[in-house]
Amino acid sequence: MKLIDFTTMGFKNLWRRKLRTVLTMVGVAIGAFSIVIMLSLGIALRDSYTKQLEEWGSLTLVRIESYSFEYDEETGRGIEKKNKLDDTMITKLKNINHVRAVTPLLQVECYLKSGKYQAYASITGIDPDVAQYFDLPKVEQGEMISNDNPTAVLFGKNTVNFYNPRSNNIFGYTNENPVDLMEDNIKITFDEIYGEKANPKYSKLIVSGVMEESNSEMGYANYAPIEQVKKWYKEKQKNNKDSKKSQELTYSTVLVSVDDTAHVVEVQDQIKALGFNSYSRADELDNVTEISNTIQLVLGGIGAVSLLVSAIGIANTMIMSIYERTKEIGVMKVLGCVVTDIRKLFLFEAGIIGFLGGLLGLAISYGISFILNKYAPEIGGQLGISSGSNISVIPAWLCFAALGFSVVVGMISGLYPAIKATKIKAIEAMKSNG
Amino acid sequence: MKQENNKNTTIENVSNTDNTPIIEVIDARKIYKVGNEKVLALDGVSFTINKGDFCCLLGSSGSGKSTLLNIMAGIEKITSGQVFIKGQEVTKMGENKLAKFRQKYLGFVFQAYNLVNSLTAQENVEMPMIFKEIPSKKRAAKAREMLIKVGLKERIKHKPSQMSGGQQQRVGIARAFVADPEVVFADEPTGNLDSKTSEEIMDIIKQMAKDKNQTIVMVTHDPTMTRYANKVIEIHDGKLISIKEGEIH
Ligand SMILES: Nc1ncnc2c1ncn2[C@@H]1O[C@H](COP(=O)(O)OP(=O)(O)O)[C@@H](O)[C@H]1O
Ligand SMILES: [Mg+2]
Repeated sequence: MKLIDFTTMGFKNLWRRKLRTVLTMVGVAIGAFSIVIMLSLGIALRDSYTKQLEEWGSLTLVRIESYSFEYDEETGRGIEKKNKLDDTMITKLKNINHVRAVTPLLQVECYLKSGKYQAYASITGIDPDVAQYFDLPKVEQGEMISNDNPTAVLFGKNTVNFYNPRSNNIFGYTNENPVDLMEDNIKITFDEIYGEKANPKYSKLIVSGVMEESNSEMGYANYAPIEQVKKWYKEKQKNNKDSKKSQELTYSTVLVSVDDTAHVVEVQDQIKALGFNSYSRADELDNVTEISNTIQLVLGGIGAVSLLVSAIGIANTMIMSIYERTKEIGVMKVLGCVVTDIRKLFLFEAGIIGFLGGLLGLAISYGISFILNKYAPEIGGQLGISSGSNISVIPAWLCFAALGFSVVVGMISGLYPAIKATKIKAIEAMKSNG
Repeated sequence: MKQENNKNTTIENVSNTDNTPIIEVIDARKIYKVGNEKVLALDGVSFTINKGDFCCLLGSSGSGKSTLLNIMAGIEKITSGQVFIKGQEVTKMGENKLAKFRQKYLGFVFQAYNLVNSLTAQENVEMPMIFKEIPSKKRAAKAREMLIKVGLKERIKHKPSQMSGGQQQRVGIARAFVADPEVVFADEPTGNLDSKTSEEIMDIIKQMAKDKNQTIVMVTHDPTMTRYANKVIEIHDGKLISIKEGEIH
């Protein structure tokens, strides 16, 4: 038999049992729909998590935190660490394969004053030459910091809250920030205001610019070139009588930018070999992926069970049809139909039920997905999906996979009936009953 | 090749038969086992049928005629003995080889017509040609031609349920002859029909077979039907009683 004849004969056979065919298809459709929708929820969940992570910070950033002292677990006494995060270590880090840039972060506290208002601020030193790799928010006003203008500070949006110490309001804060960083005259001091120094030494604050508002972890900070911050830091230490004689400066935080997400783990291993623990968003992404895979597995499993039920439905329908068509199959054999053609015909019919059922299931899935995304975003909130993200996402691969899977399920369900059909003997055609 | 030559020579032949055996049955025996019981349906039957013969297998009900026909056509397994059609041992063929053999050489007319109810007359007639993988245009044309030949010009697109028994059997005949088989088997083809319709049906079968010098093997319990045959093989209780030859008409 030719393919075209299988097709027409198969469709005719399905058509003559319309109701049963359609009901079986609906079974498949429900199965396919369950799988697709369940997986689409899982996919949406992961998409949303990934997006959130990316918002918080680049996935290619690796953060090393280290303290020059740590506590010995047994004695409880402080011991000095062998590996220090100093400038020599930074050079070593820069030489790791796939490392794009390295910068230490050094924080120094200061006070700002503008007219009757004052504010506390923290300035973070960063290497301005490679700052573009570290995910700073865009500069909204003014310009980026540079070594040419080392004392100029780049402020994060809303990181400095000026208040009036003499205000009646207990906290002294007003709703509106009373000082415009770009416009107003501001003075800065690194001296402790409440410390022993009664007359802090103010100098003029040079503002390089203000960054955009951002959810990124790098967004809530103020930046100045690292070399300048080191100077401020040392100056501050000199004034502090408690602090011991400063030796070489060690950093508590160093950021490493990796050229590609795929190399983050490799770089982290290298950092580990140098004696430091490091953290990256990629670690978290792994966790998220794992969680979302588990969720998808569970949800997909629920869908798979319903598809299994529909597979039984297909098998049932096909077996019923064998009983009805026993004589017909006998006649076909007498008329010269080869066994393989009978098998193929049954597999084809079962496959078509699977295919059309899958198609119907997909149509329903897209419909439900659309409705969910449009009218039920609060469900997404409960699932931990950030607002604005879809709660059901059906990527193209899922669409094709569901369709292929339905066909395969159909054909597998049709396998036993098909084999059973081929066993029908030609003599059935000669029996007078039926 | 051989088959083609045969055809050409026989078409020119005025006589219906040419004395070359097309079917040989040698000591055919069939035993049915029903539980522990054994039913001897055929008890060592031997005969030959020549090309172009219209052969009647005559016998009362339960005599084993149908069993004999089914064994000759490879529809049932023989217990012992041999059947040759066109020199090929049908009784030794596997299922696939049998299917191909039937496609090529055999046609069937059934007592209960056995049309597919969901298909039109034309589609039913096309069926054997579908298995033979004949292109659909050629198939449709041939099926229509056959239906016109059996007098169903007006019924080509009708479903079996819209036709009388006689009409359905005409479709059955068209289906049996459409692929130009060399042998057509018919088990009581008029068994479900009244005598007038039976006559019409028999005339059609006879005419069809004559046109292309095809061999007919027909089972009947009705002695009056033998008037269409030139060879009558009578069996009783699975045994061969007599073989009568010559134009009995
Ligand atoms: N499948 C079968 N199983 C058991 N016995 C059978 C079977 N088919 C036929 N028979 C028996 O074989 C004998 C011949 O049957 P059959 O060839 O159908 O007779 P006929 O066609 O001449 O009426 C009968 O006795 C019948 O009961
Ligand atoms: Mg019989």
